[in-house]
Amino acid sequence: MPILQVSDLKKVYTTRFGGQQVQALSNVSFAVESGEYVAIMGESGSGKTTLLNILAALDKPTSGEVLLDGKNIVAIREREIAAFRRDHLGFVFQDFNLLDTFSIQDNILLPLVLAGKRFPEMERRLLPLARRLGLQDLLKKYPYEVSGGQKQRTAVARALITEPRIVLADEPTGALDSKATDSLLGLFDQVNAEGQTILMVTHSTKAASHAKRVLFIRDGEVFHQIYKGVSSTEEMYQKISDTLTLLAAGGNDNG
Amino acid sequence: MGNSSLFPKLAFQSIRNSRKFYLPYILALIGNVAAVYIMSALVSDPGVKDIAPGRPNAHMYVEAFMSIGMVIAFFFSFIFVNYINGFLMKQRKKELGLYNILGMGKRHIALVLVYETLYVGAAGILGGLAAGLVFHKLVNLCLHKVLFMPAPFGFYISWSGMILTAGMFSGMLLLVLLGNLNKVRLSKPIELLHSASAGEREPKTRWLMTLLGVLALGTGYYIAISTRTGVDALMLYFVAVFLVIVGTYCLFTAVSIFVLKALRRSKRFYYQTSHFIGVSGMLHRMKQNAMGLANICILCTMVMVMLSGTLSLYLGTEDIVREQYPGDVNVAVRYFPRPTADSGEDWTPFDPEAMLSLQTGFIESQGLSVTDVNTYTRFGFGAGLLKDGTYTTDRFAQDAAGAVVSITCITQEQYNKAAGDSLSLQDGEIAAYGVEGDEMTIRWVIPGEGREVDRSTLPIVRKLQSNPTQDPQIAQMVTIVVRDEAAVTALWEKQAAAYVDDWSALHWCAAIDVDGSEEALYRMQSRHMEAIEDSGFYNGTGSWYACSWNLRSDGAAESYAMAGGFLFLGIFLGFIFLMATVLMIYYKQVSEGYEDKARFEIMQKVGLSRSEVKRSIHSQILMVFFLPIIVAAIHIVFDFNMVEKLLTLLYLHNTPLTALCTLGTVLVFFLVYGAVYLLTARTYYKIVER
Repeated sequence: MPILQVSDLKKVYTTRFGGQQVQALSNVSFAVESGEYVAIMGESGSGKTTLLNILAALDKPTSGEVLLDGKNIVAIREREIAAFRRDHLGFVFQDFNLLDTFSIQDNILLPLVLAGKRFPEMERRLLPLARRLGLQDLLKKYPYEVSGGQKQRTAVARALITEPRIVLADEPTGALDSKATDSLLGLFDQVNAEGQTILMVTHSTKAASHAKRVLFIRDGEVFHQIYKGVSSTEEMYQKISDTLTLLAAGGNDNG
Repeated sequence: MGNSSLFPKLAFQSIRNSRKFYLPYILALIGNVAAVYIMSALVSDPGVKDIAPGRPNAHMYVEAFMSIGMVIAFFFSFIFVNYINGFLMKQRKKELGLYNILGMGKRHIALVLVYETLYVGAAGILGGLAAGLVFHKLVNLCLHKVLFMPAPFGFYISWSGMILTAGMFSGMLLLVLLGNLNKVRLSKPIELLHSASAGEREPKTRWLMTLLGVLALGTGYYIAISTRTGVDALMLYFVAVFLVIVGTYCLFTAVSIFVLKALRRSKRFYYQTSHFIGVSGMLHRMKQNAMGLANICILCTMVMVMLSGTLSLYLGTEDIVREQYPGDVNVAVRYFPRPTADSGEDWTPFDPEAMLSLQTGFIESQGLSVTDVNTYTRFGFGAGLLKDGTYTTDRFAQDAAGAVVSITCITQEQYNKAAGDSLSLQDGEIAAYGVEGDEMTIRWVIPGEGREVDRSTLPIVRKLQSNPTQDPQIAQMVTIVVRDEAAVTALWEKQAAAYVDDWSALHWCAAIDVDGSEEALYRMQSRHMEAIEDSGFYNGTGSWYACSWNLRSDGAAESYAMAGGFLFLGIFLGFIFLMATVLMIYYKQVSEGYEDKARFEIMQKVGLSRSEVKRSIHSQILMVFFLPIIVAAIHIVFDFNMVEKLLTLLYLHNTPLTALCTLGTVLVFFLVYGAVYLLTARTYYKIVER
């Protein structure tokens, strides 16, 4: 059974004035297997952010369902959504979304504290994770004292500390320089190799080339997908570039 | 940029666009201008001069209080306007930076600021004067009401008051504008643009400040609760106030951070959902708001002290008047029953009977009838309290336990009359206020020599809970009630034996009730003043050295003028301070709202539900909001003793009344504060949840 099953997802926004309707997602279906590393690519306005928001239970679809471990997250009641999100999902955002009033350590622990875990348990999870992400010397520092790459690694640690079923990453390399980008993508590879399922939305070809599978979204539909298979990251990069060129040229699905 | 109407327009627009910030500012200006105008108008209002005809002191109290009030209100307005201006400039830095980057020179920005000040100033000052004109009449009516005077007619406009008020506030706004222009001149555009997103540093623990705060507050509180007498309270009041103010600032800036950090170090406590967000949020808030909160706290304390003090004084005036002027006409004579070194050859003993019949005879000769006469004899002397609990006339004896004690001796007749009691003492027995133990021992020691010439041991048959004499508490007070005048005189003789040439005088007082209208009493008073010009008037009354003659209605008018003026000032300044508090809170809520918005969005993304966010916001805001007034209430509790002692200097000895007034003031203040909270919290939630 796939860990995440998205079927016939449709999202229509109604503009505030005049009641004009804008279709963000027309018909999206795909599945993510446990341990997969999936990237979703698409231009601005293609609907990928809407898709991610729905997957993150931050937004509700107009129709269709999203099954996480067979449970329809669309049908979860408003009151339970926050708990569901923090227990099953991990988030990494483009602009880190760290709280400047908390130290790095407290930022990482935030979801566990919100979940009401005891401190010894928190410590037990924190230390190995911090070591894995190279954050062990930064725990007492504050977000404004560390670099962008370190901030993003903090955000990754925050996403991983709840041992989520799936990590949702929204343009995680968007605010990073190339060195920090490489480092973060290496980290994702490593985390994925250890069995963590990752779903990433990006329009960076480089970021997507690290994924095992890339979905392309255009005009609210899954337009095309590429499997990495046994190809190297460089070959994957080439394949993605070619597809993007094709997409930009407006070609048909002949993959 | 050739279009000269651009800058006025820009200025107008920016005021309109941020009316959420400017409207309260203008309203505050209007309120302050109106208040200062009204007070200045009351000073020059001819109606106030006639507030109590025939009692020149009455209107002087009002004028003096209003002048003081005007100065305080103005200085306060200045501080307050600066505070709001600082807030507005912080909010507007980005806008100004944008103007700068879009090609406006600093000179042009300055022009925009000048026009803005012009608009705000015009609206505030003109609006304030208009409001002042309208409310002046109302305030004047209230003033006459609290002074128990008939309401005046007519409508008075004080042109000089207007010019003075407008001038003062224009000057103030000009100063503020110059400050802003200087800030713009010194700034770099990119700084203006980015100043809102400067990094948040964690506040440091300031050990010295923490220590200083605890010490200052502790000492201030200690002084306040350990003050025994009114004179001490008067001398130490401002020391205590200063220490408490310093302590409050340190408490909010350093002690709070110290405590929060200590909480954070306790892992078990800190890593729980509500504490986690609360403690770190408070840490952050305290860093940003410590000064503002301390200001609010001090303001609240001032308002409450002022209102409760003036209110209890005013409500207690009736008692004060009754106590000080027991009869319609009050004659008090100070005399020595034996000749002193200064007495001349022709010394004769003071004759109370002759004095009384002289006075009643005079009153009746004026066509008025005497309905009741009460006479009392009393005296007081200083003593030292020894460690063994006995008293000595050697006030500065080596082993005196500390304070000098003022011992007053009265008759049971006077006590029963004043307290409505029916004490019946045997010879030698006493009832006492302020004495420990079952008996009171007085060692009659010659000061300086240390020789004990006599000793009195007086069994105390009744302990009095409140002081039956209501003199200003200049020292620790002991009052002993003895059987009769003979017993008073007997004690006086012992005192005289110890004090050799340094006797206390005996006070003989006659409270005479007279049947007659107030006018008739006044006429009699002027006749009496003429009569005593004649040196032979007092012939036959014996030797004495001071005689006072007072009408109760005279004293009442003056007491009410003073207490009413005080109360009026208290309410007036209280109103201004309260307005300031409300606005500070409003600005704080708004500015915090914008900062918290981003923070709570992140928390929601990471898995905090909306209701949890709401609860967390609520508890933090509640804490920040009510912290100042709770600390203020604690200040009031400690300050109570001191205020009570201070009021004794104004002859108010009614502790329950003062307590009740204080409690009432605090309650009303909490209610107003709560209402303000509800109003401003709505603004805050709107910002955070949008």
